[in-house]
Amino acid sequence: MTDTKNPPGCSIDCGTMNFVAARRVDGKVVTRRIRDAFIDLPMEHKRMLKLANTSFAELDGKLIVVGDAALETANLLNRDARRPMSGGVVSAGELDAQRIIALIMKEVLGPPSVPGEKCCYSVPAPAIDVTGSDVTYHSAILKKVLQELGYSPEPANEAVAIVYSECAKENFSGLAISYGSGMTNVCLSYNAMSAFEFSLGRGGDWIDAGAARAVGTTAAKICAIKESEIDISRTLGTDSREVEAISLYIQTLIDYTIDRVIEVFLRKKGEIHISKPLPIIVSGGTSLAKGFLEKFKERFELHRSRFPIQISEIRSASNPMTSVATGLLLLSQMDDDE
Amino acid sequence: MSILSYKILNLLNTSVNIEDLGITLQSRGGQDGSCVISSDSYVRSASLRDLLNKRILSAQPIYNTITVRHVSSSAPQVPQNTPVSEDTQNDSNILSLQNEIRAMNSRFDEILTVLRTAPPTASPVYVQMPIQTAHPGQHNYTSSQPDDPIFIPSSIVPKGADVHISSNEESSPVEDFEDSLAALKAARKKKV
Repeated sequence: MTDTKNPPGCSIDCGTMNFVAARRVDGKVVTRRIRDAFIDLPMEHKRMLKLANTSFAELDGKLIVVGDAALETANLLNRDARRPMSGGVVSAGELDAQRIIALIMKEVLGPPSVPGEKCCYSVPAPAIDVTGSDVTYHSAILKKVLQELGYSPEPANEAVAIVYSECAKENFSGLAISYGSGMTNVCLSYNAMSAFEFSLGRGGDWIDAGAARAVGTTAAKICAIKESEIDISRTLGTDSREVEAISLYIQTLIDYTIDRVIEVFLRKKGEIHISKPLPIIVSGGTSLAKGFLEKFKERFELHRSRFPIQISEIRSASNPMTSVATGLLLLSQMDDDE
Repeated sequence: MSILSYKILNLLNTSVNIEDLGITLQSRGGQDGSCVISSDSYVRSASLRDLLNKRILSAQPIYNTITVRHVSSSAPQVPQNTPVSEDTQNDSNILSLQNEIRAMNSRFDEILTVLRTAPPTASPVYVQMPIQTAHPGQHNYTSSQPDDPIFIPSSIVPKGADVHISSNEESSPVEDFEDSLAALKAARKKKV
């Protein structure tokens, strides 16, 4: 007998900055998030970490602090936390990083509720602006980890997942733009069918690195400022140099995204016929910066006249951090023939 | 009068190799049946000494009074009233240098011949392969060809690791989710 409150099927959004898992538990949709970062410490710190209730793992005689605690510890020790993924994908040959990813996935997902439970996991589309962009290896590694954990893995595009979680009222039609840390993913979906999917090799990390270079500071510091309560929609010149630089880079990324969307539309001219206005859904961790949506709307108005389709509204995902995982959870609940 | 160089003559009707100088003299009377070497080469060459002792070669000292001239047809004409200095020392040095270069060329040819005729397994061959490095914070895309195999380790999840990782948990009511699920199922059915 199927447990209607806890039906099998789960999902995991594997991002450069966060791993987010989702499943239905006792009549609720429960999401769990672990920051995709780690730092190694000497073994003598183990007791201290236990006392402080800090997330860590003991791996091959090494002490590894994982998650948000890794960033805090890195700041405390004036070191850089390591990231197991870069540019939106698992790095080929980085076997240590892959084992950390596996640990994070194991912890964020927990054990399968039934043997071979279906787990939909996110993969980006290949980046159109990065030579040799390939997500095959990335997807294969994640699939292997999930299989080892006892799941039946199924890959799905992360921007498509956003349309599924956010555009039910538009019959799953919309343009989803996911501003992640390693990259930006875009999907145009019409009546639950994907018209195109692509990604760009620029995201939050690109903003951090560029703004840091511009003002002579570190990317980690820029990232911390970006994630604090700054408002990037405010007029340039009224904030600190760091905020100005962040705002400029975000604005450039938004313009860059809109230009690439227009380009892809033009390339597919004749293939896409959309009669009704569609919404644009802005999501992803980078879009959480205060004023991001306002900035997007402001920039879009400058491009609207040459935008190939009518846009009904521009809105944020209901929860930009969990939107992909929720969309993937919907997919995991579908029967295979649906 | 000092000896600056030696003219070496081949006395045989076959070619002779002065091994340690890397010079090969053609048969007697031929165009390359003789050469001029520096006195220094003359003194230090054991091979030459051996060939001289065996009377295969003969050596004639060249003193600085001997004038060796090379007249090029394209050389500018020297006005008659211009004094011409006969710098015999320089001429001898040039001859010696030319012979040294010939000797080096001959040696170089020998080395090339040995390398070309050596079997491929005679010495290890190191081929510089392009090195791919991963830099934190940068894109790391594989440059593999489509038919290259993808290496996936047989085991990635660490076994027996002592793990204490906490996560941030959020929950939302399931009603909206169920509505979306029903709508997605309907949309997909319609599509089919």
